[in-house]
Amino acid sequence: MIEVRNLVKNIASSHRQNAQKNGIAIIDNLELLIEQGQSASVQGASGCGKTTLLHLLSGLDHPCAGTLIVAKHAIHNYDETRLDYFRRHTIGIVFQQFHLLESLNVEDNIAFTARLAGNLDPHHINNLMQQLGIADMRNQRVTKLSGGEQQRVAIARALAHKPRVVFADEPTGNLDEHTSSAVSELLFSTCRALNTTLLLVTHSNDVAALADDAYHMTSGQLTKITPSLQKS
Amino acid sequence: MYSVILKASAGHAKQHPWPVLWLILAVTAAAAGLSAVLILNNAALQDYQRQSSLIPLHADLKVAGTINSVEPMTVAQHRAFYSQIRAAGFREVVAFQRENTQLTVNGDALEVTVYAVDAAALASLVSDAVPDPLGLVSVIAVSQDIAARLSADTAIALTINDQTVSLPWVSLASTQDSHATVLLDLHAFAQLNIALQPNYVVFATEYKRDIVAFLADRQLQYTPYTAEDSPIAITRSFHMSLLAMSLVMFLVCFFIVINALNLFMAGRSRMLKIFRQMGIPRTVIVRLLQVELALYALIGAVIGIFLGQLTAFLLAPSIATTLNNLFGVPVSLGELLHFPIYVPIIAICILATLISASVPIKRLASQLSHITPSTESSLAVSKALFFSLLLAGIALIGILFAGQLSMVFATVAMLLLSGVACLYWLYPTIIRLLVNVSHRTGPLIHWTFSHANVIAVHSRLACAAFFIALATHIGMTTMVDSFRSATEDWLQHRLIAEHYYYGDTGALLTVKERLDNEGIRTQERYQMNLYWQHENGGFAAQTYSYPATTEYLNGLKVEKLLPDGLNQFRAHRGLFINQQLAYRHGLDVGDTLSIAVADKTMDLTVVGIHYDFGNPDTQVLLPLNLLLQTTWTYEQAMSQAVRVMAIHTQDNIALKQYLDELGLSHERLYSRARLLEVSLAAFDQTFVITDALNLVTLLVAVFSLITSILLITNQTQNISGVLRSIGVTRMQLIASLIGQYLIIALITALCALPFGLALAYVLVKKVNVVAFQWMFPLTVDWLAILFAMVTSLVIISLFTSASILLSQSGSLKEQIQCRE
Repeated sequence: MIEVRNLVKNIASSHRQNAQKNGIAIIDNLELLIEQGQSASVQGASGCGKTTLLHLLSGLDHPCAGTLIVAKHAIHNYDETRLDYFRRHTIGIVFQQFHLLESLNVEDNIAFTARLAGNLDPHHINNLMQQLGIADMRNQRVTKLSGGEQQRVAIARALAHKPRVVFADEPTGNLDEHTSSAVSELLFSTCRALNTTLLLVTHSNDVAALADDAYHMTSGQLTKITPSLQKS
Repeated sequence: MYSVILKASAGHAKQHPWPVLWLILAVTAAAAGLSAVLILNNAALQDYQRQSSLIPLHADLKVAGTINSVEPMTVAQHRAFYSQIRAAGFREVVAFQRENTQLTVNGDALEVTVYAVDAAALASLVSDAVPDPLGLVSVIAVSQDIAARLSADTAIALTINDQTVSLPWVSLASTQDSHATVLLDLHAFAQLNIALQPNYVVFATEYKRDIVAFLADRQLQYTPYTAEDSPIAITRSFHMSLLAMSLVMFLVCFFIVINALNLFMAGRSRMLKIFRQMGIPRTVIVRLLQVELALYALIGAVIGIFLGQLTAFLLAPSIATTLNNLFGVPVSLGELLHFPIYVPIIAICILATLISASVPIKRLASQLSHITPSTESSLAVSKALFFSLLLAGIALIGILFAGQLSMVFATVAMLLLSGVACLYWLYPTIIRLLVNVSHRTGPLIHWTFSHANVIAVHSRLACAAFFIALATHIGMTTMVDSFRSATEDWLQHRLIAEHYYYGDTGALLTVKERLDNEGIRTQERYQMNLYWQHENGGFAAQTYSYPATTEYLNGLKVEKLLPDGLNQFRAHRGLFINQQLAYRHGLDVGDTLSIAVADKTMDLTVVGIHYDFGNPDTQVLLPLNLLLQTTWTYEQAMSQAVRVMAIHTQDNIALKQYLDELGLSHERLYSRARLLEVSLAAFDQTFVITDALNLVTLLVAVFSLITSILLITNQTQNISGVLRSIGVTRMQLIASLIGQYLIIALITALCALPFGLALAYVLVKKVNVVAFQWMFPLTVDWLAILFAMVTSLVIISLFTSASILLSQSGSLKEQIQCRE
C-alpha cells in the first residue's frame, strides 16, 4: 500500500536555502493512495515531476513537507540507515536503462537483491525466470542480452526479494513497441500474481492502460484519469 | 570545419581537464627524468673529452710489459723502445705520462693531475704547420683555477713520492681546462730526476696494425688503452645505470601516458561520433586528434626539460662527488646548459606520445567506422601467459649468457616485460578464482570481486606502470641493501686495528718507528704494481702485502677459499686475489699465477678470492716476505709502496700527541669507527641519486594508479547509485569499492615481489659482475620490501578512500541516473 498526503517538493535552485523556502514547487500538496496489490500508472509532460515522485517514494530523495507511507513505512521520518533497510527489504525498482550489474551473470543479477535482503528463495527465483522467459539464459552475461531480455532480468531482480512495492520509471522507454508490450504485460502480471503494489511512470498510453488506476501529473499534483480518458 | 572541431575539443578539454592534465604531467615527468640524466651524462662526457683533449690524441694502446720477461718495463727499456719505434718511422707514437700528485703554490698544497707528454712528437703529429701547439717545450701550462693563484714571482713545486722539486720555468700559460691540471713536456719532466717509470706509451694512428706487428716482433706486450684507462670507459657503468633508471622512469611514465590516452579517448568518443554523424571525415578527426596530442606532449616536454635542467643543477655536485669517490675520476659538471639535446627530447616525447596514441586512435577510428573493436577473450589471457613465459625464457638466457652491460640491461627489460605479461594473466585468473570462491558468500563480496575484473581491464596500463615501478624499487632496494650490508660486514671484518694512518712512505715509517719504541703494535701494508702470468695471459695488478697472522686472515672476507688455503698462504705457497681480478681475467681458486723473481719464476696458487668492494683495480695479496722476494730490493719496495698502516691501540690522545711531536697532521689518522662511518657515508652518497629516481618513479606510478582508479570511479558512478537504490548502505558500498581497488593493487604488488627479487638477483649476480667485477651475497630485507609495498597500498587506499567518500557524500538522487 502507498499513501501520500500533502507532499511538497521544491526544486533546488542556485541558492539552496532560498530554494527550500521560495523555490519552484515541482510537487505541490500531492495526494495518492494505492492499495496493496494494486497497480497505478503516472503520465505527464517531461519535467512535470514524475521521476521526482518516484525518487521520493523510494527514499532516494527527501520531501520538503508531507507524509509518505509505503508498505506501512513512514519514510518521510526515516534516516539514511532506515531508508537503506527499507529499500533493501520493502521495494524493488525497475529503471529505464535497466542498470544491471554487468560483471555478474543473469542469475546472479536476479538473486542479488534477494541475497542482499537475506531472503533468497531459489524456487521463487526459478519461477520468476520461468514466468519472464529467461530461465535458459541464467548463466549468460547480461551484456550479451537484447534490450527486452535485459529489462526482463531487471524486472526479475526487482521482484526477487519479494518486495511489497515495485517502482518502475519508464521501464519500456528503451524498447520497441512489440517488446514494450510483452515486457509491460509480464511486469503487471507478475506483480499481480505476487500481490505486489506497482507504481509505474510512463509516456505510453498502452502501458498506462494496463494499470488498475491511471494518473496524470500536472502542476505538481496527480489527477486520476477516468477509464474512458485512459483508453483514448 | 577545422576551427569548429578545435573549438569543441578545447571546450571538452576545459570541461574534462583530468585526462589532459594527467597526460601532460606524465610527459613532464618522463621528459624531466630523461633530460636531467642526459644533461648530467652529457656534461660528464664533455668533461671527460676535455680531459682527454689535453693530449689531443685518440689513444689506442699502451705498453704493459714484455712477453718473455714478466718484469715490468724499466725506464731504460721504455726509452729504448720509444727510440726504436720512432726510428722505425711511426711518428704517431707519443710518450705520455699521467700522475696524480701534489702541487705546492707559495706553500699551499693542491691535489693535481700532472700530464707529461713528449711535446715535440705531439706537435709534429697534431699539425706540421703549428709546431708545439701547447708551447710545452718552453712553457708549463696550468688549468684556470691554478692560473688564478699565480703571479710572476710565485714559487711552485711538485711533490711526487716524497720528492719535492721546484718547477724551473718562468713562463706560464693557462689552459681552457677547469680541472686542477698541470701540463708539461715529458723530457723536461724527466730532467727533474723524479724516480718514475713512464707508465704509458700511447698510440694514436691509422697504422695501428703495423705498430702491433712491430710490437709482436719485439715480443712486447700491449693492451688496449681505452678499455681501462679513459674516464669515459671507467665511468661507463655508472652513467649507463643512471640512464637505465631514467629509461625505466620514462617507460613507467609512458604507461601512464597510454592510460591517460585511453581515458582521454573514452571521454572524447561520444563527441567525435557526433562529428562523424555531422559528416566530418574520419581522417580529419584523427589528424586533429594527433595534432592536439602532439601539442600536449610538447607542453609536457618543455616543462619537463625545464624541471630536468633544474634537477641537473641541483644534482651536479652530488654526482661529481660520487664519481670521484667511486671511480677516482675528477669531473666538474660545470657546463650544464645543453641546448642541442633539448630538441631530441622534445621529439622523443612527441613521437612516443603519438606511438602510444596509435592503438587508442585506431580503436576510436574503428568505432567511427562502425567496426566493432575486438574485446578481451580467454585467448588474450592465455596469450599473456605465453608471452610472459617466452619473455621470462629470453631473460633466463640473458642471465645465463649475457656478457656485456647493454645485453644485461636488455635482460632486465625482458624480465620486467615478462612480469607485465604475467600480471595481465594473473588479474583474470586470480579474480575468477575469488569470484568462484565468493559465490556462496554475501552478494556484495561476490560483486566486489566480479567488478574488480572490470576495473582491472580499464586500469591495467596504470597497473603495469605501478608493477614496473614497484618491481624496480624492490630490485634496486634489495640490491643496494645487500651491497650495503656486504660492505659493512666486509669493512667490519677487514678493519682489525683500532686506528689507521694514511700517508706517504716516509711519514708512515717515521710514525712506525716511534710507535715501535712506545711498544704499540703496528702493521703497514706495502703495494707494488706487478706483472703476473697466467695460462690465460699476463696482466698487471696492484699487489699488496698482507699479514699471515690468524687475526688478519680471519678478517679477510672471502667469496671462495681452498680447504687448506690459509695454511698455503702462511707457508708462502699461495696468494689471495680480489673478485675484480678473478672476474676480469677468468681466474678461480686453485689456479696458478707466476711471477719472475730474479732469474727464476715463482709459481703461487690462488687460495682464495676476497671481497674488495669499491676498488676499481685488480688486487693480489701476498705475505710481506713473498712480496719482497718479487721486487728488486727492500729499499725499492719501500720507496714505491707503503700507503696505510694499522695501529693496534685505542689511545687516541697519545697517538695524536706522538703525531704532534713528529710534526705530522692528525687529518690522516682515522679511528676504526670513523673510517667505517666515512666509508658508509661515501657508499650512501653513491646511491642517493638512483634511490631518488627510483622513489620518484614509484610515486609517479602510485599516483597514476590512483588517478586511473578515480577516473574509473567517476565513470562507474551510476553503478554505485543503482546499488544504493537497491538497499546497499553507504559504508557497504565504500568498503566494496575500496576493496576492489585494493585487490587490484594487491595482486600487482604480490606479482611485483617475485619479479623484484628476480631483478635484484640479476643486478647482484650479473650487472655488478659485468659492470664492476664484484659480487656479494643477496640478502633480502623483507621488512623494507614489506614497508614499500604496504606504503604504496596505504597511499593508494587513502587517496581512493578520500575520493570515494567525497563522491558518495552528495545527494543519492544525484548519483542515480535513472534515465539517460
